[in-house]
Amino acid sequence: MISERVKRSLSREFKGSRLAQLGVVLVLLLFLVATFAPFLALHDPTTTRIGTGGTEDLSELPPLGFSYTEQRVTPSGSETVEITARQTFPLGTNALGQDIYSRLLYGARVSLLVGLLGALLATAIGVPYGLVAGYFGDRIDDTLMRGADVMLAFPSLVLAIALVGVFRDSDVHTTTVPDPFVHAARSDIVPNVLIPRAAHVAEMPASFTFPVTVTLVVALVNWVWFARVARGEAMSVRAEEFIKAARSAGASDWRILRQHVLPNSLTPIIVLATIQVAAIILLESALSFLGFSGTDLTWGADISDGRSDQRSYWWIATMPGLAIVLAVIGVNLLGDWLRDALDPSIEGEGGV
Amino acid sequence: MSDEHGPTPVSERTDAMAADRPLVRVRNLQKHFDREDSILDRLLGDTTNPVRAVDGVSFDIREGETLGLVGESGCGKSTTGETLLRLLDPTGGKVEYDGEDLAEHEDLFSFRRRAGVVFQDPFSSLDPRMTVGASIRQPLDIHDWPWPHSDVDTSRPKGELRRERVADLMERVGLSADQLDRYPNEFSGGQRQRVGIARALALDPEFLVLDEPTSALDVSVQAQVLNLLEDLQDDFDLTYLFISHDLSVIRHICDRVAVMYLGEIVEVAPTEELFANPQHPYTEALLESVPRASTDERDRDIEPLTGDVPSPRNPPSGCRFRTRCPKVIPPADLELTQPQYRAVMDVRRRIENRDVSLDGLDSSGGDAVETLFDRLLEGVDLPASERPHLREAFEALVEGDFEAAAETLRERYASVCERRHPDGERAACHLDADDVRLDADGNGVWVGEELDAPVTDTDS
Amino acid sequence: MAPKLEVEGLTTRFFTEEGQINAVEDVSFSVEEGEVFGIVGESGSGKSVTALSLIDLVERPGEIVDGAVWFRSPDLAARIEDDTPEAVDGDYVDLQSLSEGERRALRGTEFSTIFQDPMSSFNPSLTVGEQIAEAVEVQRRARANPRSVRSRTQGYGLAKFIGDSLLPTRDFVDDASHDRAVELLEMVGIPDPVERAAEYPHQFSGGMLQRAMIAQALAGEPSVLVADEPTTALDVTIQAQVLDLLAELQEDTGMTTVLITHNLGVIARMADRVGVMYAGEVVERGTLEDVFDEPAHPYTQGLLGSSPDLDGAADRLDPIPGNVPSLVDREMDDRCYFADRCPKAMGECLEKPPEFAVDGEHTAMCYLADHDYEEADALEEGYFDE
Repeated sequence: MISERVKRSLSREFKGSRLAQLGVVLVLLLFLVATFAPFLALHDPTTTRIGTGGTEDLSELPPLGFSYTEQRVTPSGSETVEITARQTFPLGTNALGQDIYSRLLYGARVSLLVGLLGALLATAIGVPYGLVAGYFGDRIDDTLMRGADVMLAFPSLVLAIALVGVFRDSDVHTTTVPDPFVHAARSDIVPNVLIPRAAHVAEMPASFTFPVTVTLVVALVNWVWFARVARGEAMSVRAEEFIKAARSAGASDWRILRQHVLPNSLTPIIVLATIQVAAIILLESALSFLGFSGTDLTWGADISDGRSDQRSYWWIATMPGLAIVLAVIGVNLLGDWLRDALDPSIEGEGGV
Repeated sequence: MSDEHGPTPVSERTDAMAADRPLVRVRNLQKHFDREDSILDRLLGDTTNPVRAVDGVSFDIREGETLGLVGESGCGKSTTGETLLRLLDPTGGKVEYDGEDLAEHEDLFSFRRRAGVVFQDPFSSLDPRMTVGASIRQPLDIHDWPWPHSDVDTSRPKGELRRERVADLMERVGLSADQLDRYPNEFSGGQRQRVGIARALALDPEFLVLDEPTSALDVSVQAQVLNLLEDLQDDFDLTYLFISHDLSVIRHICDRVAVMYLGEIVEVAPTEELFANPQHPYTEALLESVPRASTDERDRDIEPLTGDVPSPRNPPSGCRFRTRCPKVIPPADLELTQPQYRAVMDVRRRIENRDVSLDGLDSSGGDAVETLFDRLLEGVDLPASERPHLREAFEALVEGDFEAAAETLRERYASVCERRHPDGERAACHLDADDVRLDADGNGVWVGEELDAPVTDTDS
Repeated sequence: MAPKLEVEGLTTRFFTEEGQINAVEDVSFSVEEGEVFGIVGESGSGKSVTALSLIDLVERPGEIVDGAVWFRSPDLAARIEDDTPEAVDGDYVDLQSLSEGERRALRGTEFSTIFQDPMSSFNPSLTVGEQIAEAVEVQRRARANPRSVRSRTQGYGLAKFIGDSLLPTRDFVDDASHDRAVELLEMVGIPDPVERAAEYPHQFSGGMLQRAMIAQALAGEPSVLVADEPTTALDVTIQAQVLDLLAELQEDTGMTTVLITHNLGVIARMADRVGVMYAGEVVERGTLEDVFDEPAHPYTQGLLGSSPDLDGAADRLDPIPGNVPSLVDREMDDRCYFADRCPKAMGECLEKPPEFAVDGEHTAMCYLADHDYEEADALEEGYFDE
């Protein structure tokens, strides 16, 4: 149920704020790119082109508009080669000759999925926890929230690394998710005329690796923020007279939590969840940068790849870095918009 | 501090006369609130006095009547209502509903069906995220209405029956049934209050606690709601506990009235008697304080109560009203008028609270004592017979010995009102006691036996 | 006697997202020197906005769009006649046309206000004595030089914060001002004023703080006091104390008072003359006796009829049906705004009635004040239902 007032408030804030508009555009872009990566990608992001087996060495191509010279050792001594950008690799290639542009598109999938699922999971853990603490108060509150405080006391990255260490050797560390578009293009279930560029799509990877552990870890690191906000909301809702009225009618605590406390606490939780998506994208990047992710097709891993050659091949690390910056800014601006429109009194808590 | 005297069994005797059994019997009900101690306070054992919001309240509500509970803010009247309904756990005492002790109920589910409540704030009493229809329907869902023996056609789907019942209820309280899918913010305060009443009526209760149901409403709308409540009482044979600070409303709607002050009931009487002939000085002052909406009002002389209500964390000993009472009963052998006596008592209280500035007093000689007379009893013309007692106290004070000064005054001036918890048929006041001689103005003097050692006011 | 205040056609509107709200619509009344003029009305009647408009404290999105508040002040009139002739008419100055600076200089010195909620009117971090002394100081300086009105409480910048923490705040005010503050506290019946002056607002009870606010309002020895629901937040026994105090001060100082309240009893106790507001308009005004004993407007009659009487027999109440109307401009017709709730609405009520004289200065915005009710013209029941 979205009331008229909320709609009005959302549209007013949207119209009045360039930043909100930018945020929406960036987030929409992120969604589109992540969803339709097989259509938009120019190459299979995992194909390497390092000149083995008679293929052309296309590693470390610069982005369009850039070029550089390099000393190459040839049988006839060394020569200076000028390496120029190629139209087909608009953002250049990395040390393995993989197309950076295509990798960014696929990296968006992982970042966005981890961000959304992580935030969802954190909400699912934190909100009930906080609502129960805030609604019952007293000793239950003390016990639960002291526990939550202990969680907060760990630096989130350290905690994440420790948790990854526990899970990384298990079977569930990563899972392989099939790509529906590619499957459709390869099979005959859907007539290929209905799929734009079907032949191109069919050449894309049939699945991508989703880092399960990392998703669990970011949720475990972030749920405390949800618990705190939910607790605060529950405490204020608890004092309302309609809660007393429900109790006087014989409503159980469970019913009150579900029917009254949760719906009346939702607004700030939604705002927080949005902002936490950005925080989680950052945390995921950090973890994959450090190599804990289990998949190398992510922005963080790409940065890590380009790190050693930062001076000579700056684009390898910079391009995924820019992608992270834009995604995080976009989600944060979206969250700010929601916050300003729905509930000007809350602050965006948390973050990394 | 006064537990050995027990609570006021005011209504116990009056009820023996009543033929029918009361629907609600409240005996010595107590509700104390501890400060929300932080975990650190708990570990350190650092606790403060609890707020004695309700401190030994007893009354009966007879079937079909409206009992009014009136008092100023913070007197504990709303807490009494909520504790009675077990929305708060009582600290002590018991509540019997229809002859059954609520504390012995394993769960209060069946009681909840029979007793409802309407709250003051029309904005906070409805969930803003629920349609008014859903709010009214909630009790029906909770209690899985209709029940097998209900007089509705139970073969039809429950959802449909409930929706019909909600529509009926809305019509009954003067709303239109096609508004049931609207949200509370589309209603005015008066309409919301009607929704709250409809919700309270959903399960066909026999008893309603009305907690300031009209206080947030404008006069014209208040009159509508009061009329509605009266009609509903007749139609559904309801018994009301009507809590309000507004004496005019109380007089209008109640059959009997209980007056509360600082967590205790000070007077219970049938409405007409209470308003025509208030027995307790507090009731009297309360009635006098209300400005009347009439052109004679300007010429009506009133003697407003002085001072503020003391803290319920640390209520006065004996009679709790004595710190503001215009009729405190002095010991027999004083030659003081009531204002003089009050002035002396004020000085005593300040000394006990160490609230007297000794700056600029020369500690030698009689001048300092005279200065204190000027400072503390300015404009009070004391008879010569009392001056030596005060002089003795002030001499101690000049030495800085607050304790001795207070003791001197206590011995001489302590009133029965601070030593004994009052008790009475109708009003909890010592003026009714046999050992008090009343003069023409209604002021009393204690003529009974010598009283026990005075109690200290400060609980330090 | 000449009136101290003449309000003419005062109109205040709020421009909100929901649309234009006509909070105060063409309100006129006059207040004699030294009297208490009561404005009574229910919530949403525009009585508080009227009070704010008198002293020009309406804040955005509200705006006074029309009208004049003529204030009798021969000295001021003579002084500013040359600069702003449009603001002067004989001994009167129009507060609406005054320059901002002149207007501000009048606040506190000539006009003072007390509000419903004393807690939010005091700064919790300064002692009550300091705040009253400051008011005294500001008014003293204002009298010396009307253009230098600047209260310390007006700014809360970093510089002020640092300044306050480094310097003892009392240095800003004279000892004389502080003594005067103690005197004022004593005047409003606060026991042990010297000790209480050194306490902070949270150490005061509600009634005491209301007294302190009155003391603060009196600091500039104002000639007009605007009291907006001064006792609404108080219990009856405390209300009685505060009303007594106000009546006493009124008698001693000869202040002109505009008292705004929803409580008919408070009006009856305090006011000499009364204006009844409904939907932004003053629908009836006259002496207390006129309005309470012979109400001419059906709304006034309804208001009096729906209040339960403390002394009378407990009969059934006679409520006004319906609800307070919306003040959103586009939802208002140009009719008598009470017609939809009025038991005696007639065809002509669909046109806005002018102010009819009932008897001398007793006026009412109702055709019934002019001629008798004619059943033949009555609007059929349910006329205003959609």
